[in-house]
Amino acid sequence: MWFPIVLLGVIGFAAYFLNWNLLLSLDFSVVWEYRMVLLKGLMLTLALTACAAVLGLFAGTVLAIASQSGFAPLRWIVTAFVEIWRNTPLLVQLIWIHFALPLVTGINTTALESGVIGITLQASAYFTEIVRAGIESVPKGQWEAAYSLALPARIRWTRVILPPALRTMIPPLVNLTISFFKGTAILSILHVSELMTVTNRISNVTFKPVELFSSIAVIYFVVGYLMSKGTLRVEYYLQKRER
Amino acid sequence: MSAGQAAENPFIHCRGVSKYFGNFKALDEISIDIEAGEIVCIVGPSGGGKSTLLRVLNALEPIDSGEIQIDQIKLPGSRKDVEDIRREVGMVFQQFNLFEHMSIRENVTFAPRMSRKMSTENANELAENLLRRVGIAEQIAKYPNHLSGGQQQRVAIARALAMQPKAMLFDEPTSALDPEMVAEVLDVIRELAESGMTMLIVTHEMGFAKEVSDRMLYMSGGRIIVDSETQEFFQSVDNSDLNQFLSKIL
Ligand SMILES: Nc1ncnc2c1ncn2[C@@H]1O[C@H](COP(=O)(O)OP(=O)(O)O)[C@@H](O)[C@H]1O
Ligand SMILES: [Mg+2]
Repeated sequence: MWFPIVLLGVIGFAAYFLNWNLLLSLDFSVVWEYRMVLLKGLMLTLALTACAAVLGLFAGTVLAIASQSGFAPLRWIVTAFVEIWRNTPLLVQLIWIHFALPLVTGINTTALESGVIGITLQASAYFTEIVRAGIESVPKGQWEAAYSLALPARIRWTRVILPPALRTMIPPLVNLTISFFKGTAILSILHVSELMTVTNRISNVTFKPVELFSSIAVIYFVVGYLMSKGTLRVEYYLQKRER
Repeated sequence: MSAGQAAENPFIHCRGVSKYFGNFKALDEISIDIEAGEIVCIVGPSGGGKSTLLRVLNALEPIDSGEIQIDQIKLPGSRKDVEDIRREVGMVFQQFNLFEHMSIRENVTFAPRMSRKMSTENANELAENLLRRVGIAEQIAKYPNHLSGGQQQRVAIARALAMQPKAMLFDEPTSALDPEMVAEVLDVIRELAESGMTMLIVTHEMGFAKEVSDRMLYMSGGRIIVDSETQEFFQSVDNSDLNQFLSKIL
């Protein structure tokens, strides 16, 4: 009964303090004006996300399999890799790769290359954990059946263990991919020309940061939302096929 | 073949086989010989080491001491020996362990194709024959979770047979089944027994064991306490442990 009244009160209170002049002065035409540049930025963001997801999942799967090895030093290396990349900021990692690594190795990488390497490495660390959990969720009986049928190791992994493991991993994989999609924004520190970088550049020449950054927030939201809904449908379809 | 009597060339030969889990001795100096074509049922209390014995015979668990020889292949052995043993010896599990993401056809054809390099065409024909033999030919396109427990276990038997093994190991094949499905699975195993397959069967179905087996083992505490011809086992073996076990279960 009193709840709508309180809500109205809060809204009114907020409206009173809002700077209506500022809101009314917003000019979103700048977004339309620079639409092609922004679109190009979005494409690069999506390409970087795809890189992180595909290469990261591949490397993560290899590392997760290595983490099941009977050879202890191999397991330690995997654990060290995963923990280091998961527990340091992506920003620091990018600076290592872009500025420190060339000093050590003598190989210079472009901003884009450094960005791809950084985000892929961090993605592989996170994906390793997810794939490992997926592998461990496969019942022991599936392993035993595979062993007792003398299936070669490669077949055992690719055809018996990984398919059901990947199935259980779809929701966490989607969530992780979406967080890397948003995470690409950090690559703007290297001026990689993805969506965040180009928005920054436009904002620097047009002086319309509020309009631009609010608009790309909406773009990030919509694309992320579609990714999550779309992939969950795929999962639903796969499940239905086997029931 | 009666208990303890050393055969000329036993198909399965175990000498002094021990298996530890940590400090726990799950198998304690097991020695048995099993002839080709022999049907041996293993009974005994839970935790007695029955499953472990079958698992070491299928090289699913490495042994800590002693020696196993199956059809001239020795364990412990190289990786190839391990795979050869698994090809020769089929295993059926209590929980079926079918590949849930594969159709019934794929479940049965998969191992012959992947580990015996059989052509898809031949494997399909083999699968159809085997599924007809276990009475579920019409379910071939379905997935395991469409099937009842009894049907799944029969598919699991067909899957093991598709490797054309020389011996079969059954670890409580009917224990996870609803009572009304036990008979359909036992019928399949019985038919297999009549075909002359060498078999080791862990079971609590005493009537069935009495009927199909040539020989009975009673295991407890990781040891074979009684090893005797079936008739003798149920009538005249004088072992207080066994008699107590039988009086409880019968
Ligand atoms: N993987 C394992 N790790 C530790 N202990 C085990 C393992 N497998 C079996 N055991 C132990 O070995 C003993 C024998 O088990 P098992 O062979 O399964 O007995 P049974 O099949 O006769 O019930 C049990 O005490 C069990 O707890
Ligand atoms: Mg058991």
